[in-house]
Amino acid sequence: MSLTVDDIKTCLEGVVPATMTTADTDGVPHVVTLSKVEYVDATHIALSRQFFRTTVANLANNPRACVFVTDPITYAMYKLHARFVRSENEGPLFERMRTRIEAIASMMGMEDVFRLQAADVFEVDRVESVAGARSGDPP
Amino acid sequence: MVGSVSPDGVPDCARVWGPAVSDDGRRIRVSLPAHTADPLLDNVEAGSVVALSFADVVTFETYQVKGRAVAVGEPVAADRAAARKHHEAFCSRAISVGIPETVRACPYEPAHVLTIEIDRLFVQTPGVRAP
Repeated sequence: MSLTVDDIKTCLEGVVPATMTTADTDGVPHVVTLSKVEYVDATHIALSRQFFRTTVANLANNPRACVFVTDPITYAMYKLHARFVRSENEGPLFERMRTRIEAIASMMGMEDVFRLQAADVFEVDRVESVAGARSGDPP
Repeated sequence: MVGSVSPDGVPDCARVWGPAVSDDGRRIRVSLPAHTADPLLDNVEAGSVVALSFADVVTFETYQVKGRAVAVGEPVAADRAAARKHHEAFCSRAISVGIPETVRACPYEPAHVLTIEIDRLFVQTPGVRAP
């Protein structure tokens, strides 16, 4: 059975930081840690854009991304194979993410660093359970 | 974490353990559990540049290495010890900031070892100057 974003929603609670890889047009990968992966719907997520100059440049030329997320309870791990769709810097999604980012930053004392610039929306083509971890079944 | 790219531009990411820098500082060895080998090893075999990101989960101090794999091999005792030590340190730091004890279930036993020749190394700690 194919997994969807609905099956891994507990991974998006922000407890365990997620990681994303993008690539430039020369095939050079770039890895960043994400403050927040936001659930949008069963096939879309939104990622917090804060200070990712290389990632933004990469996505402008190659929209593909791999997002690595972890369930905070079972530590099951998943790869979300996704495609950048659009950026939002206003509206309900952006405001929801900004509120959560500010809460995370406040807890970490990094209010000046973790400032949300945009909510980047991605379409998730495939959710892959990372075999060997305590995954296999959706949480 | 390690990032790689397929020949048709599809990025991948995977968790690696036990980094060990060579005496001359030009190469770094990392261990891959079996579940992280696919498609990383295929991408490396096809010539992918790799990006290694090392982050402290408490301070967010982060460094990234870009380079190419110059060897893929079997782990030796030192690799297993380095992976185990890294896993224990990672779990302790993660638990100290509220990540549940289940983090200890994260697989780390090496199945393969990548040796990467370092092309670039840069600071990636979050902030306005992060690349």
